[in-house]
Amino acid sequence: MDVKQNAARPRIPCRKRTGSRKGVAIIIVLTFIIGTLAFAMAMFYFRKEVKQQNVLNVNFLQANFLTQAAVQHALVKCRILPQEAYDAGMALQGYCPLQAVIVDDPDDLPDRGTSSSKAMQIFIGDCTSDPTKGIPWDSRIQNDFGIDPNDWKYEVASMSVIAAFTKPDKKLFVLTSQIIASGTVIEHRGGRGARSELMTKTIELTRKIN
Amino acid sequence: MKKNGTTLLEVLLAVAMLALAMIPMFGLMSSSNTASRIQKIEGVAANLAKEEMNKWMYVIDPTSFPDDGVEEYVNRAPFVVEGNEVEIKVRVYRHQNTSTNVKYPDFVWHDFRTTCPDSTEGNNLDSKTNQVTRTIEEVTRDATRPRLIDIVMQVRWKTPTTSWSDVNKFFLVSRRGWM
Repeated sequence: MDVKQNAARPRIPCRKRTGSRKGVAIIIVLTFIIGTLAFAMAMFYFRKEVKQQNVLNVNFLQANFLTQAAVQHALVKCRILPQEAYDAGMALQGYCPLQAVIVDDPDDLPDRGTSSSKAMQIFIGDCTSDPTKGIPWDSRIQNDFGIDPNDWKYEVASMSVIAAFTKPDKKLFVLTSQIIASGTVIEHRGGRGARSELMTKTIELTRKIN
Repeated sequence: MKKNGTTLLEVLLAVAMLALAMIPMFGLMSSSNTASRIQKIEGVAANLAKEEMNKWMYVIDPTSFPDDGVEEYVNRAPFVVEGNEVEIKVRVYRHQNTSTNVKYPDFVWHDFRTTCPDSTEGNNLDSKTNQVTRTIEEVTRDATRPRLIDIVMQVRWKTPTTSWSDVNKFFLVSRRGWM
């Protein structure tokens, strides 16, 4: 039975060699090498990308901690000079720093007078690491680590007042202020140039009325 | 015979080319493996450094800080993550209140009762504001507490097969206010 079936199977004619196989091995190998090199290139660029991402992350951290330094500097000034901070904020709003701002009717706010930003500019002007205007980094840092202070800078860009009112029942003047701080780092590792970050901090200053 | 000989030569040539291409490939793969480990631990180092810096900025009481300018491990020894090492050292620098100046505004006295009705400022304070410079010690009651402290963190990392290098290093610099 099997023999019959086999005998009945049509014979497929062998393909006749029509051309030479000379050079086929080299073509196969070259194809393989090109494929492998393409893989290697892809691996290289992926690695480079990860490396750049790491440098970006570190740059962000460095700039971010500089902005935090600016906020800390401003907060220390508000802590040690609270009255000056409050007065500067009130002058910025056009209110007299020595008088209460009493709001009986929210639709009838007290008129604002002449706004003066000079006091606030003085107050935040030295909240920076710039040696010509504020408090520079400790000089030993450059000697100990070889860090160039010009590559690590922070400053308080602005301190605006978003609310000023008085709580007569508690005999309290209240001023809500917004600090905008910036930090800039130039990290030579990775060569990506300057990286800056901004941070906003909202604080409430109060002044007790005796 | 002539045809077979050509094929053998061809195969030998192909094998030689393959070997020439593969030897640097093996080297590349080996170095890539090391670089991948380095990059992975670099990411871990950045995260660890962020956590540590946050602690030094906001959590640790400044009375527990090391002496001025003295280097200290944040963890007494390098962190070990999957056999890789991350070394974080910190130094603090205290600004002396006796020599650190602050600037603040000072208003020239004017009679607000007559010129500022209903809390509205009736004067142009630009011309009535002066800048005063004093040391921190002069404007605070607690003169012994250094108000500004510079913090420098040095972060390095390495794999078990590499050594400590300045290439695999970064700094974090910040300033803490001691409220």
